[in-house]
Amino acid sequence: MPKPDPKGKKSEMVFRMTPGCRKALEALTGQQREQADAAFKIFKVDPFDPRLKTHKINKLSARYKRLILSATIAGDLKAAFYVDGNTVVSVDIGTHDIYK
Amino acid sequence: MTKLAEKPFPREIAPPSHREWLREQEDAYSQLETQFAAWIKDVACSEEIFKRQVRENPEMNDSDVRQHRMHLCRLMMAGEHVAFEFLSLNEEGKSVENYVRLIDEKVEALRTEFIEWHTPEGFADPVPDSFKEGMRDAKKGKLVEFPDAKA
Repeated sequence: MPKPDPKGKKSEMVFRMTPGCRKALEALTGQQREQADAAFKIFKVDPFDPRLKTHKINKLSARYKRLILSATIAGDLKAAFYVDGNTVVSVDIGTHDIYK
Repeated sequence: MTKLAEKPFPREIAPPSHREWLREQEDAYSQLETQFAAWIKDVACSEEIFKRQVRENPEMNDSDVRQHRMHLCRLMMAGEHVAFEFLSLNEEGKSVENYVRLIDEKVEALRTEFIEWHTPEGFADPVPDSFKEGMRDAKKGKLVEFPDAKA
């Protein structure tokens, strides 16, 4: 399970999300959406920025046989994502325990 | 008289006292190939037994269920062990990917069977449905742009 190395490739990175993830993001209202927008602004510069507290989700990484990561979007709200080459794919947004 | 060195027994039919000697003559890769073949055969034989004793057994009892669980675990462990040994070998010019892929496929089938038959009552899958759906969409290439930030 190779760890992605986005260092030095930030400008080449492409950011995509699943339709469900986008729907969940658009469903956020008020302050949570504002916080999410601010967090994704950082995320799109560097998903491993320390402010996002990005960490590996071991259980999901084992099950899906690839490195699955979690970034803090707002409070308990996390984005689960993976890196495939130069594409960062956000899979889901939620407050599920497994993303903590 | 035939000398042993000229015409050795195949290890499988050699007397028990000779097996370790013959194993020593084989390289690690060949030994693993032999273990792989034995494991595949074990899985196939177990499939027959599972069908007879568990899946299609009208008299299935607690002992059958326990043995089913026991043998599924044993087969998974043995397969994972052979895969691990292949991956640890890392010998130049020796391709192990196909062996490991075949083992992974069979272990996954065994694991699925274990989950279907022996998942504890009340077990709740910790993986959210939204994540599973997201991974399925991503696998199909169904990806979208990030939405614009709300003003």
